[in-house]
Amino acid sequence: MQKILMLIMLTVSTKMYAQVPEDVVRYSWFPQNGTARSLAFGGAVGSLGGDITAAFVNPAGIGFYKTNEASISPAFLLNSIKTNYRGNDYSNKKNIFSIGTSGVVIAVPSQFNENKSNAFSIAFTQNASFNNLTYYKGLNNFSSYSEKFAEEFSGLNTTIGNVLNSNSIAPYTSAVALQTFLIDTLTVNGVTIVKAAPEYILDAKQALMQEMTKTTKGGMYELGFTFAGNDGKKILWGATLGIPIVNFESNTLFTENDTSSNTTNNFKSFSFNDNFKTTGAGINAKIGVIFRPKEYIRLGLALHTPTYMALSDSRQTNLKTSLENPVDNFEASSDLFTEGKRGVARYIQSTPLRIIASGSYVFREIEDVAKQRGFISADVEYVSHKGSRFSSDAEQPTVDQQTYYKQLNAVVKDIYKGNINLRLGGEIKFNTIMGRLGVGYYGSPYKDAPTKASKVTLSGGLGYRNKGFFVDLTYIHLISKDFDVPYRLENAQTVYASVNQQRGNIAATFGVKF
Amino acid sequence: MKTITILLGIITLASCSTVYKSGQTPDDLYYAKARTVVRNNDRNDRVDRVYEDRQIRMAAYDYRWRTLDDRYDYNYRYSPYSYGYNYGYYYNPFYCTYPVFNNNQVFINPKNTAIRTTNLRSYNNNITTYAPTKSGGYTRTTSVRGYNNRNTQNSRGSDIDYRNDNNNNRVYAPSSNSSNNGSRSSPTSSGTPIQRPGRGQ
Repeated sequence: MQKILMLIMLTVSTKMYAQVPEDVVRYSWFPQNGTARSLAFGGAVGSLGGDITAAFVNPAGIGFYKTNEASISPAFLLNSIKTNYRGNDYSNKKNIFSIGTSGVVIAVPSQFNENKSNAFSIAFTQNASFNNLTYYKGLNNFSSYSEKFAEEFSGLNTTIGNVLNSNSIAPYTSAVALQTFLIDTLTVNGVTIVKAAPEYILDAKQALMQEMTKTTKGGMYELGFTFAGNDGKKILWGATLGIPIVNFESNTLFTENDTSSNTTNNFKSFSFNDNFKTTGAGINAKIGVIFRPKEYIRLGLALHTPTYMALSDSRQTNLKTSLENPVDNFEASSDLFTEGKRGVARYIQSTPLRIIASGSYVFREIEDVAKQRGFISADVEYVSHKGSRFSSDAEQPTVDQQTYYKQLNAVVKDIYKGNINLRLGGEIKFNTIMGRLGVGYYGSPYKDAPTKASKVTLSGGLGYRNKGFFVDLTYIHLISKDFDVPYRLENAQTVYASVNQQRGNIAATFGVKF
Repeated sequence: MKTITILLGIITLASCSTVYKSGQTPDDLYYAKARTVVRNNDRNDRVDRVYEDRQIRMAAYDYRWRTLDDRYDYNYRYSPYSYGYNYGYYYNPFYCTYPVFNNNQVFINPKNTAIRTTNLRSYNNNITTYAPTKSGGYTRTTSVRGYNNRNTQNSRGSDIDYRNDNNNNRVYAPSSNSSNNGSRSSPTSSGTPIQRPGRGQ
C-alpha cells in the first residue's frame, strides 16, 4: 500500500520523522459537504440517493439515477471566530470561496427491464476548508511558550553543539531558541539545568503578555469515481474509489512580552513565527447499499474505509529574542539549521473508519414531477477518530522513527474517541419549486477536553427545477465549539483558549439533465 | 476558480442541448424513467462491410496486403516496436526499461527531514512535579493533568513549584553515546557547526 501511495505522489522520498496528535481531527472532524440541495436538508443523503452528494456518503444512492446529470456547486464561507484566552475575548472574520460536490452522473438503463439500471459518476468535493484566522491575547503568570523549547532540549540528552548544527535534529525549535539565547543552560548548586529566559519573569511572580495569531489556508478535497447498480426491485448498491487531495498551510506568530517596568530581569520579549505546509494525496473506498422494503421507505448502510494519505510537510521558523541584563537582541531562522532551505518530511497518515446508517420516507415515488410531494431523511454516522494512525514512509524505518510513531499512535488512541454524527432534514415540493430545512450535529472527538466540543449546522434552502435545468440555493449556519492549545508542557497543566466559530455558508448548485 | 469556470462552461454548453428543454426536469431522487433510445444496428454492419471490401480491393492490387490479417493474430513484422531478437533491444523501451546510459550516479540533494515532532509526554494524563521542602529537598508529586485558562494569585509558586531552579526537572545532561531513555537518542552531527553569537558584548 505504501508503495502505491508513493507512486501517486510521484515523489522520491528519503526519510521522515514527523507529526503531532492534533493533525488527526483536521482530516476527520468536519461537517459533511455536498450540493446546495443536500446541504439544505442537513446532508442526510445516506439513504435518499438521486443526488451526486451520495457518491461521498452512500454510493448506492447513485444507483437511483436513470437520467444523466451535470452540476456544479460554488459556495461562499463567512467565518467568524470568537476566542477567550485567560479571561480576554477576541473576534475575527475571514471570508473565502469554496466548492461543494460537483460532477457528472451517467445513467446506463437496462435494455430489458425499465426499472433496472446502472450509473457511474465522476465527482469532486471539498471535504474541509482550512481557511481560518484565530487570534488571542492575555496575561499569563503560569507558564511560558518558551518552556516547550527548554523541555525539548533537556529531553534530547545532547550537547548545545549538536543542536546548533547545519543539519540539526531540532532545527525549528531548540536550535533557534539556543541560538537566540531564549533558552540556555544554568548551573545552580552544582546541577546544570535548561532554563528559558521568560521563566525569570514567572519566578518573580509576574505575568507575561502572550499573543497568538494563527492563519490557516487550504482544504481537503476529494475526487470520487462511483459505480452503482439498481436491481429494479428492492436493492441498490454502489462503490466509490476516492482520491483525497490535501493542501494545508499554517502560519503562527506567538509573542511574549515582559509587562513589568524592571529592565534588569533578564527578559524583554520574543517573537516566534512558525510556518508549515502539508501537501499530499491518498486513496480510500466507500461502499454502500440501500434497501427498499416497501415503496416510499429507504434504508441505507455505508462503510468508508480509512483514507491512506501520503503527506509531505515543509517547515520554516523564525525567532527574535530581546534580552536584558545585559541588553541584547538576537534573531535566527531555522534555515540556518536545515542546510539553508526549508526542511521536508514525508509520512503516511490514515484517517478513521466511518459507518453510516440511514433511513428516509419519500412521499410519492412517481415520475410525474408535479405529483412528487417531498421527503424526510436522517443519517447516523459513527467515526472512529482514535483509529487514525501515522507511520513512516521509509522502507526500513529507524528505531527512533518506529519508537516515535508507536508512541504517537498510542497518544492518538488515548486522547481521541469515536463520535456520533447526526443529520436530519426534509423537503417539500410544489411542482417546480422546493423548500428544504435541515440540521446536523457532530459530536466531540476528544476523550478529555476543557470545553464541550461540538459542531452544529442549521440549514434552509430553495430549489427550482424545470425545462432540463435545476438551481438550488442554500444557507447553512455552522456553530462550532472547540479549543486551541498554543503549547503543551510535560509537567504542567495545559493552557488553552476556547474557540467558538460561527460560519455562514451560502451555497448554490447549477445543474442540467442531458 | 478556473475549475468552476470550466465546469460552468460545460454546463452551459450541455444546457443548450438538453433533451428536457421543453418539459419537466426529471428528479432522480424521487423517481425518474430512463430515456428511450432507438438503436440503429444497420449502421455498424455497414461500417464492417466497408472495411472488408476495402481489404479485398487492396489485396487484389498488391500481394503484400494479402498477408495482413489483423483479426486473429498480431503480426510482429508490422509492429513499430519490434527491434529483433539479437540486436537493438537496448533501444526497445518495451524490453529494457532502464535508461541506456546509467552509470549508477547518485544524486545528492541534502535536506533536513527533522520536522514537527512534539514531546509526547506532554499528552499524558498524569503530570509529575517537584516541590521544594523546608529541609532543602524535593517532594515528587503525581497528579492528574488539568487545563488552565485563568491566572490565579501566585499560580507559579503555589503548592506545586516545579520550576524551582534547584529541581531536577530539566537537567542538562548530554549523553556520550546513543542511548534512548524514553526520548530520542543522542544525535550525532552530520552537518557543520553553527557558531553561537556572543552574549553581552
